[in-house]
Amino acid sequence: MIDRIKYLWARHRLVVIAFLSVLVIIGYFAIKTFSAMIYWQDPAHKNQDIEPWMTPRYVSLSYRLPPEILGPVLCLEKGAPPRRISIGKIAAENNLTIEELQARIDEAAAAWWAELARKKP
Amino acid sequence: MSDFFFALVADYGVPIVFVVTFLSCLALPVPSSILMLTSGGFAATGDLTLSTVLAAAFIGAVLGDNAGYWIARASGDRMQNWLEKNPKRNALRHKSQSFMEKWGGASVFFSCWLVAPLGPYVNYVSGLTRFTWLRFALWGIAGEVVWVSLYVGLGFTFADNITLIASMLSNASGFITAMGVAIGLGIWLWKSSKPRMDKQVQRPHI
Repeated sequence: MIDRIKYLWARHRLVVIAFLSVLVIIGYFAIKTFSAMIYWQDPAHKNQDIEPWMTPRYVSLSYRLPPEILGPVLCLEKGAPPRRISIGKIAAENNLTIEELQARIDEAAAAWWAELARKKP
Repeated sequence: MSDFFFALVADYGVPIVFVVTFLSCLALPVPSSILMLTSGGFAATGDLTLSTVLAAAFIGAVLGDNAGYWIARASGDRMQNWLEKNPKRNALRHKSQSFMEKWGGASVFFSCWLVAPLGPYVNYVSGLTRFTWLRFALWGIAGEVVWVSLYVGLGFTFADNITLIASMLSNASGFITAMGVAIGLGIWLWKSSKPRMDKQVQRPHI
C-alpha cells in the first residue's frame, strides 16, 4: 500500500492532490449536513423568517395565516384579486423594512393564534 | 445570491425558471436546483401553476443540455488538428471516447440529477467525444424528468419551509457529488498504480 502511494505521488501527484481535496470537501458537506440537522431540530427555528423573495401567499402558507388577516398586515388592498408580488417589493412600496414587516406579521400571527385558542378551549 | 433569483421568480414568474435551468446546463453558476424547489413552493401556494413550472424547468434543462452538447461538438471538430497533433492529447481523447462508449448513457443520466453539479461538464465531454447524439438526448431527457420532478415535487410538498428543504438538499447533493468524484478518482488511482507497480518490482535493480 505504501509503495502504491509512493508510486502515485511520484507519477500522478496532481490526481492524488485532487483526490485528497475531494475527501476534504466530503468532510465539509458532512459537517454542514450535521449542523443543519441540529439547527432545524430546534423548534425555535421551525418558523421560517420572511425573506424579500417570498410572496404574500407563501407567507400565508408558512405562517398558517388566512389571507384576510395577512392582507392588511402586508398593506394589500382589501378585496383586490390575489397577485404575485414579492415581500421585498411590498416593503419598498410602503417604505417599510423587512424587519418591520416581520414584526407586523409576528404580531398578527400571535393575535390570530390566541383567538383560535380562545374559540377552541 | 439565490435570494436574488427567488425574488426574480416571485416578480416575473415561470420565464425565470426556464432561463435559469437553461443556463445552469451550460455550467453558469446559477442556483437552478433550489430555484426549482422555490418554484415548486410557489406552485403549492397558487402563485404559479405546477404544470407550467414543470414544463419550463424541463424544457429549459433539455435545451440547455443539448446546447452544451452541440457547442462542445462544434468546437471539438474545430480543434481536431490541435487535438491530434499532440499524442498525449490524442490519447486522452481516445480514452474518454471509449469511456463514453461504455458508460456514456449512465453518465448522462445520473449527471442530470444525482450528481447534478457535474451535469454541464458531462454535456461538454459528450459533445467533444462525439457521443451519439440520439443516445445523449434520450438519456438526458430521462435524467431531466427525474431532476425536475424531484426538485419541483419536493418544493411543492414541503412548501411551508423551503429554506429547510433547500439547505438539506444542497448539502446532500454536494455530499453525493463529492463522494462520486472521490470514488471515480480512487478507482483511477488504484488501477493506474497496479500494473506499473508489478513491472517496477520485476525490474532488477541496477
